[in-house]
Amino acid sequence: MNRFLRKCFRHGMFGMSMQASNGNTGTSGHGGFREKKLSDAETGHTFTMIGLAGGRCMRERISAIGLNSGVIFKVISNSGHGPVGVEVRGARVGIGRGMADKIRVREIANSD
Amino acid sequence: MRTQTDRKKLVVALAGNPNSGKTTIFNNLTGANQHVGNYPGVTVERKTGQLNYADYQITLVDLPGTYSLSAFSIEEIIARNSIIQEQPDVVINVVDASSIERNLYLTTQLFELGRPVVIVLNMMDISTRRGQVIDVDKLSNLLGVPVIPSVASKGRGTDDILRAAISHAQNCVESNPAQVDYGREFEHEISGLTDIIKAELPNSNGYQPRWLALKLLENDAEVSKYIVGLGNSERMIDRAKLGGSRIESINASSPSEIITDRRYGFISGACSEAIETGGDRRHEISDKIDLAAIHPTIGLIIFAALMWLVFQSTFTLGEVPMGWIEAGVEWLGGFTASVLPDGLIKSMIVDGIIAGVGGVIVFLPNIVLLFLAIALLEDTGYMARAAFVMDRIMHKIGLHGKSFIPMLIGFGCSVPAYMGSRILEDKTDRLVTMHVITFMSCGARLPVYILVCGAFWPAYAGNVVFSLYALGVLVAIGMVKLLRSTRFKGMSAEFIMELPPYRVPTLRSLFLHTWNRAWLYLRKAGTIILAFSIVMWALMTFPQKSDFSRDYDGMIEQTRSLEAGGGITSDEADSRIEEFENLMAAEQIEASFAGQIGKTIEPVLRPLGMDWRLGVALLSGFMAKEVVVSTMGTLYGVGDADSDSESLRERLSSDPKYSRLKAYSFLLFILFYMPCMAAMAVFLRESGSVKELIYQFIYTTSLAYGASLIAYQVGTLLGLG
Repeated sequence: MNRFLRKCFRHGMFGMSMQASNGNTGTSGHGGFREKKLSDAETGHTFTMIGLAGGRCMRERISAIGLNSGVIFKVISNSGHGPVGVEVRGARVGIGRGMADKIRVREIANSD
Repeated sequence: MRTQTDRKKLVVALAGNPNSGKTTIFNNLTGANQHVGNYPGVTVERKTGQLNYADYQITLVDLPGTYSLSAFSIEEIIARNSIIQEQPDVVINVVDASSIERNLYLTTQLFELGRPVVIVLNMMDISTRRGQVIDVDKLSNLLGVPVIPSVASKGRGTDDILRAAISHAQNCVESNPAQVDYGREFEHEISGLTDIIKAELPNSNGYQPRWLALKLLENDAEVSKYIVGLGNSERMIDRAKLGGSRIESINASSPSEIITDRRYGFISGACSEAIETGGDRRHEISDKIDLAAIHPTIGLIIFAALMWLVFQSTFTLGEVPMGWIEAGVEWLGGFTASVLPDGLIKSMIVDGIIAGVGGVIVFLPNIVLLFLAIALLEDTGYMARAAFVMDRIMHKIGLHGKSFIPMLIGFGCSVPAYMGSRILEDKTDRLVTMHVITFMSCGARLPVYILVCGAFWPAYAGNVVFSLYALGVLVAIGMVKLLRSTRFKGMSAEFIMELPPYRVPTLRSLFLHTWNRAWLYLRKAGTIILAFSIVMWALMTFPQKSDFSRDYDGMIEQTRSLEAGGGITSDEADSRIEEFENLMAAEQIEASFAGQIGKTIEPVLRPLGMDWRLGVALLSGFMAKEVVVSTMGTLYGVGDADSDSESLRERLSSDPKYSRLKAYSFLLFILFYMPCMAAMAVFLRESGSVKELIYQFIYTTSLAYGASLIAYQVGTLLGLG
């Protein structure tokens, strides 16, 4: 499943529809949690990264700061505007909204 | 005591993530014995330092802080090329123990470059506080390189680092760093391509064949270019393309994705064996501060308050030492004037060099305070939060969150603002920011505004001054949009930034940070600015006028004898003599090259409502904007003038040739036209491009011309003149 999605994203198949539909087209995933964009992820919740709809440059940049497919991270700040703050691999990172729009995540636990 | 030549020489490179404590370790090792320069052709800082330890003379190279060694940022390319080309005897890799998995991502790539690596596990205190237990020996075994724990901020482990680095550099034959296994098919392609590379490139130039193969397979732009540039590269390139597509079709993932996943997989494996985590990360003070600092509203308030503090301290606290320097420069000028015989040499030294260089050195306290404040914001970890909360607004304009800081500083002075734009990593962001900084009305323009507004709008001068500041900001926003849609197409680099844990900065790091910047500034004042001061002086002094419209010398003598005879008081005599001298200076400047240039460009300035005098005043503003006021004083024959000068105000407002409309047109020109020479010199160094400097010069000055022209012509049509 993940692999299939990743391939699709890479070829841009979901790139456009994702942008237009405000993240509500995600298929329901395992454990009852839906996929969403990182930009729609709630503060305080924990997610796993599924894939991204960006180019090579963006992928290299975000994986260098610790975000690659399969990694588990916590959203520490997402106010709906501006960058999204996440805690990943022991570090806190701010990710611009434009990038966060292209990162697909699925919630794995609600720590609240 | 051994002499330098007895010592064995070692080159040691320092690599690591930004915020890993790399710079602190560099400072601990080298002390003040360091040199800061730029890598050729780019504005990435190159820091080197010298130290002696045991039998060794060590050159330490601080590589740019990076998270990876891909070819997607200039820092990453520089870091990896430095290691490949300079072949350091050992690479010290500083790893932040509190986010070890992310930090080791760079480590796996350093291993592949083939130089001996020693890992420094820094910030062990934070890691321990978070409940992590790291088995250092086990980690060292798993990674195949020495691992040295340290707490750099407290100076712990510095000796161990040196000892390990030296012994590892000497015995690197035994070193066997772990290599990431990229999987069967991938490794098959790597070894096939490595064999071809070995055959085609017997002279490897420091490149590891396996690394070249890996980079070609993942289609690294830099490496592909390098290989193609060598010629006869078809076999390698073709094989790499074939291999890359085979890997992709088997794994349904691109080589670069597999590489990333495998590296993190390897790291997770090593960490799960060597590290015990104490369950969930505890809520630390750092996290609590962040609850407010990156909060969408509270964060903005905190940011505004801190920026106000920075701005205030830079320009208010700076005023006192500025006064000392001003007094010192004045004293030096007066002293020099009193010991040197009258003549051109004296005039050049006093009016040219001391006044010109002195006018630039006066800003030193601002520079020192500002960079101290920036160092504090950076070293405590707050700067990243400031950028985080500001990105929301700045990104909409087309700038990066961090652009706000140099722009704010620009209201004080463009010189530190240009230097402050270094905090922007992305070159386009930096250039766009630098191109609009000049529209933030600097402190030196304020005296001009005050003078002119005071003369023509005595009742509501404040509102007019404010309109100029506001207009500057609006034009800056417009220019960013324009630049982003033309020369620097595309949006601002996406915000991606680590929010490091808050830390108490060390005095040493604050001092070094500030000192390095201050020194760069002073050096500039002693070279380029010195030269320009002499040129400006010459323009306003030559050709020397001998026949004045009236016999001032005779009139001065007459006044003196009148005074001696008791006909007038000495005060009266002094004021008359001063008047004559002022009139003489006004005639001299009219006849000088500067005056001639002013008259030559007068036809060009006439549509803006300006005469040659204002032209010369604008020209003199190139030396420093506040000089416009004193030049106007000379031109209108009222002698040394400042912005409060009643006589100059009166002279301006009573002149029937001037009007409010013409005054506003002049003010618009002052607001928009080219930065002063000190700012331009720093602009050149920070942008590293003569082309950008010329662009800045031309577009700001044309904008100034256009704005003044429209204002004056439309105003005249509307009958406001």
